[in-house]
Formats: sequence, structure tokens, C-alpha cells
Amino acid sequence: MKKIVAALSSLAVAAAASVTAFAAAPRDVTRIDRSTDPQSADTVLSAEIDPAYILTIPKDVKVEFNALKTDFGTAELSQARLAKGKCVQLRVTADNKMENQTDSSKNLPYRISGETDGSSAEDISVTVCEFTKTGDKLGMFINITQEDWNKAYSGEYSDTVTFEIRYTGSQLGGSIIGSGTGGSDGNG
Amino acid sequence: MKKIISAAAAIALACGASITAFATAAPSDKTVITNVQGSTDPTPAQADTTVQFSCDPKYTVTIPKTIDLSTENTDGTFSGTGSVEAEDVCIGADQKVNVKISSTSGFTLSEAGSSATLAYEVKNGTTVFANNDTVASFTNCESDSTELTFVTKTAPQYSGSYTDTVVFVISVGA
Repeated sequence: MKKIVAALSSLAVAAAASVTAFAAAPRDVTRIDRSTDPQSADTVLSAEIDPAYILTIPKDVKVEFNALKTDFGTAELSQARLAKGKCVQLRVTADNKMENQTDSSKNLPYRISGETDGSSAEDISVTVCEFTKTGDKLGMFINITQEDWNKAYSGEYSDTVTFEIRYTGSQLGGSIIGSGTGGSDGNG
Repeated sequence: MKKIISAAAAIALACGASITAFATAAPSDKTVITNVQGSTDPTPAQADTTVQFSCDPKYTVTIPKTIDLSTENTDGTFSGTGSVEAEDVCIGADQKVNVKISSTSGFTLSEAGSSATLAYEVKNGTTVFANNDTVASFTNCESDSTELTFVTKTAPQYSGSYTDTVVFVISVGA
């Protein structure tokens, strides 16, 4: 009988422990009654807002024969919520020559230029561009001189353009947090 | 032995009860009516008694110490809620326990690491409160709560850790 009583007691203790474990945590509040001095309470409001953004970069583009300037698309920042003083940096790297698909020794030189609102293509380096707010964008173009077209061998040419994206506070700092590739194809 | 202890305890309890029963009431303001035998006075013997009840004003208002505005809404704004609660309210008729809210910044959150700011508003349902407005009122014999929503006016332009302090002031009045 004693053993049964002991077992029941253990169960009772265990049940009580379970109830204690699920008890709600006390709320962080200020209680004011008639005798409280002063009759006021401070409440601290806080908001942790993480950085966020979407940077859209162009994918493939086809260059028509003898086209001197071809629209490569637009890199655009949207839904941007960056820390003040920080930016999204876009670095564009490419070989600047499209390779002939049947003879890799033959190539077609090209140059990527860019323009932002109010700035011409010639004024902007597309190697690095910084975006700070929603709507910032960079239009990009594939430029091939007539002289290079004239010298090109027939065939299909292609190259890959790499886009590196950094969230950074300066032009030289930051870490790469995204990358993508775009392609350019031409017919000589 | 056990029986002796139990009996002693019972006697002790009985004595205690007797003492209470025979306690003398404190002298009070009273009317004494004496019925004199053979009196011809037709007026019935009577006396008035004033019944009094005194209840000191009392209330307890509970204010949250912190409110987190980290819930992102579909429109890009951020919000959080907090409740102002009242219980055990006993105040005069036609009176209320009023709770006002104020912010020295005029309801503007500030980012700690920069000069970025973010305006917000305080609402209860569709009612938007201004600085120093009464955000909750509680009447007599009531235990109730009012939920306040704190929501940024716009989607934040900058990320970061934003804070502000509001003050709730409690008063009893009309």
C-alpha cells in the first residue's frame, strides 16, 4: 500500500511540475493605482527594421548585325530599405569581346556603356554603380564600332557578363551578397 | 494523549468564539424611545436612522512598458499593439479614469545609428489619436481594456533600430 501511495504522490508531483512549466511569463507592465506617484508611465516603442532590396539585372540580349548600340536592359533597385549611408553596389565584369562559336581564335570586341537619369552613356562607367533608393536604375548598352563589324568573320559570337552585387557603405568595401550573369550574342 | 490535545483545542476555539460574541459594540449616536405606560400621546414612537456607505476612489491601470513595432504589413508599414487595462475601478458617478498619451517627439521614431526618423500614428480601430489625446476612458465598477495600435505612417526608407518613448498620464475627471 505504501508503494502505491508513493507512486501516486510521484505522479501528483510530476503533474504539478508540468503545470508550473506551462505557466505564462509575467507581462512587462507598469501598474498604477490611486496612490501611485506620479500618475504616469513611460512606454518604450521600438522597431527593428532589417535591410531589404530587390535588384533586377538583365539576362540575355541578342545583338543584330551592324548594330552600333544595342539596349542591354536595365539594372533597377526596387523595394529598397537600406541603412542610411549604405548602398547596393553593382559591379559589371566582362571580357569585352564576344568569341566566335566555331573558331575561338576569332572575336568581336564590344564595350558596355551605361546611363542613369540625366547622364549620357559616355559619362558613366558601368564597372561600378551604386544604388541608394527604390527606383535608382542603370540602363546598359552593348556598343560595337562599325570598324569592328567590318573586320568580323561570319558566324555566331557570344560572351558572358557577370554582375556582382554588394551591400556596402562605401565604393571599396562591402561583401558580395549576390551575383548573376547576363549574356550577349552577336552575328557577324 | 491525542484525545486530551484535541479536547483542549476545542475548548480553546470555543473560548475564542465566546469572546467574539460578547464583544461590546462601540458607543454610537443613537435615539432612545421610551414608551411611558398610560401616555395619551397619539404619535407613534419612531426614529430615523441614516445609513451611510463610504467608498474611497480606487482603480488600477496597467500600461505596457514596451511595444515592439516589428510586424511588417503588406503595404510596407510596420506596426505593433499594446493594451491599456483598468481593473477594480470605483470612482464617483459621472467620473471616468482617463488615460492620455503624449510624445515629446510628436510620434516620431528615431534611428540610433543615424539621423533617420520614422513618423508613426497611434490608433484604436479607425480612430487616430493626436499628441495629448485621451486614448482610453474607464467608468465606475468596470474592468476593461483598450488596445492601441502603433503603426508607421509610411514604409520605412531606411533600415535600422528605431525607438521612441510615449508617456501615459492617468487622471480622474469628467
